[in-house]
Amino acid sequence: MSDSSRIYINNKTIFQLSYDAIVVGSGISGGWAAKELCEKGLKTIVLERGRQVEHVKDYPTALKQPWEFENRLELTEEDKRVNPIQSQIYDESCKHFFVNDQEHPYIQDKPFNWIRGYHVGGRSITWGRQVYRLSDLDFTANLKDGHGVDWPIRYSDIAPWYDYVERFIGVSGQVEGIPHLPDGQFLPPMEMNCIEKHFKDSIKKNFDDRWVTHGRVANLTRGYKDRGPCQYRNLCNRGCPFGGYFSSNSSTLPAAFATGNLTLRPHSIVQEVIYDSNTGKAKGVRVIDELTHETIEFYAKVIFLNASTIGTASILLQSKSSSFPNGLGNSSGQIGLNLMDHHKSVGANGEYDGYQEYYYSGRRPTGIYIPRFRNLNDQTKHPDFVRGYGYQADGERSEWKDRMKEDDSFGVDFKKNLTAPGPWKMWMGAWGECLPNQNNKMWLDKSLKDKWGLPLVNISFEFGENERSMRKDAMNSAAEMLDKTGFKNITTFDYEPAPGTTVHEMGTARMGRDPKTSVLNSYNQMHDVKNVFITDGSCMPSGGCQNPSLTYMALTARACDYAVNELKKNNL
Amino acid sequence: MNRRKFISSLFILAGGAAATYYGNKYFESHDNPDFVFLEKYKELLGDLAEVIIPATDTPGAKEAKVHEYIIHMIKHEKDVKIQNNFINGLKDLKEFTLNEFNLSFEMLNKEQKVAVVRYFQKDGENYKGNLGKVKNKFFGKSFFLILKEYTCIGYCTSMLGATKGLAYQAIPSKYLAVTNYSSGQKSWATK
Repeated sequence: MSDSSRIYINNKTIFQLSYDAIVVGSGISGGWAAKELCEKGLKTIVLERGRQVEHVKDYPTALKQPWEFENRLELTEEDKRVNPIQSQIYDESCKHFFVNDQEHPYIQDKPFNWIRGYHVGGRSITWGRQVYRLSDLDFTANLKDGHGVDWPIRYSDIAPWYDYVERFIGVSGQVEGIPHLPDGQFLPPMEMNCIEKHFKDSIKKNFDDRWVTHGRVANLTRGYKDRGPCQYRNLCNRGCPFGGYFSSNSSTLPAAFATGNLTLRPHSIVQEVIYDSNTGKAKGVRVIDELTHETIEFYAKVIFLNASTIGTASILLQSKSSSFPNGLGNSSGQIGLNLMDHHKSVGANGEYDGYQEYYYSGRRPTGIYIPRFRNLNDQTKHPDFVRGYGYQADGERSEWKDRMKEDDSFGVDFKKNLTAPGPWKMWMGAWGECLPNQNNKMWLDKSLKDKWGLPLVNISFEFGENERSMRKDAMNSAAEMLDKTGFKNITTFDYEPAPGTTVHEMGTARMGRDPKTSVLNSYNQMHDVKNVFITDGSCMPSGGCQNPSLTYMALTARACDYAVNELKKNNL
Repeated sequence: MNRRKFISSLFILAGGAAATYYGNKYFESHDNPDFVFLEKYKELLGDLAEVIIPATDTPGAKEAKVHEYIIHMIKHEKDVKIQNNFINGLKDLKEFTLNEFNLSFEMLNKEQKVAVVRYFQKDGENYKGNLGKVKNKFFGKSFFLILKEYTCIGYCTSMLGATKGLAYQAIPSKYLAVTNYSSGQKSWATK
């Protein structure tokens, strides 16, 4: 067999068909796999199902002023009708980085917002950029309370990889020494404004067990590796022409290209991973060209699946063979189960009398963070739920968008109020952990197919009693904290968004110690198929309450290191 | 102008018989919206927006071409209830003004314009509170509320409104977490 001599010609681009490594997906974890594998000398092809998005060049709205948008960034009825799911997240300035709901249908057995960006860079362009480490509080959670399966790793296994990843992406944050929210390799933090400083000091006086820190965010407070610094425009989700924040497009893919080892193929929808029963390994992937619908096979020694939690599970379930009739590496039957998302949009608002002589200048692309304070130990145990939540919070002066609704009048005085800053306000919203639960799941439809002939995804997901109890506490605790720190006119909220709205899907191909109950081992390697690695959100045995992307990146770098060593030892 | 009639209509409202004075005859909220009318009375709309956000030491809504934005949003963006509430409200207002003053809205002096808008604001107050929420759901927002909301958004996101009415930095470059604020200083146009 001489696959490596075969070539494939597409749009005058010549693609070799055999590589050392295939990476499926170019989002936040796929970009990392590409960079690591290429830098370690592997000829690597990245298969991206959507179009190319070249850093800077393909950010068409990045430098537009508000008045240059036809609808002035307001959602239209048309958006809500055509894109009922994606339009819950996007606005006029970034809608081109989200899929069209009509073109990419799925079935909601129970309501679940599946937010997607099918293009080079994936959702790393529009991500929230909040990066928080997990700790052993999270890595031991399943073992301690019996939900899900035990993580096969502990904090000490991943800590050096958190360091490694943070040094590359650039994270601004404050060293705090909080045991369950480990510090990282930080650039200087983005400062707190006067109301946030007041809040931090006042929380310290009023609560023994609660912390307030600067948002830890993958935006650069100083120029770093030819990128940035952040220009404080707070328009990150349009793509940043200054490279002020981390994305695959701005950071990992350019690093991978610089090695000369990267081939990137957009419009490549992976239909299945091809299993070779003679070797017991995967030999490649079958791709459907998004535009021409033709089928092509690519081959490699090692395959990384980074197609996102639901995407990766779909590919595995589509990869049926006589050895794996229920999907590749699915001897445990766990693929597609244990889907998780964080729950959010619950908390409180308050107003503060005072500090009228202060304001701020520039638009900081983050807020402040109140790390988890429930169920850390016996003293902080909550009777109604296990695990916990952290708050993202933000203090600011009321501006025209609020002022226009606060004032019933019109005319000269109304204009004066509308255009002047109002009272200081603090907003606190919880991001809460969702328990792994095998009834929350996705599976492939038996009859319905998309326009490429691939089965539609069904999703069935519901937050449970533990999440509901946690939300109640998160709402009341936010109000309590605002009250004790001197805020007035406190209002609580619980918008109960559909699951999926946090866009933190996790868990459909979990890591674990036992191949009977998990899909991946401690190095994100499939128990059943040793040359397939999965390092996107699907690998997570539990979700913590922290924003998860940093953990995917660290696990990816760690898995790449392991995979290349195993390759060298001829173990793959 | 027929001042007595104007005052009596305000009196009816104040007395709690809060039925829309002229509007009922246009209350056909599921008809195809009359965009021809909307386009034809662009000037009237500009003058109305100017009453909400008048020119002072900074430009007003009319100079910021807010009416063009309102027409765009009404035409393309909102459901038929809102489109009709708005266009019918505009028709009401035009007719009301002619009946009360024998003049078109554009010809009125500042005080008269304010009085007319205030009348329609009062009319829209039926829509406040819990009952208002129910009404909003069934009938859509009132003419006045739609006018005010789009005027504010249109103004604050326009070049003149953002850069002169408010303070705008396209590329701040720096973040200063604490700055001194002195009275009269404008708030930021964008977050």
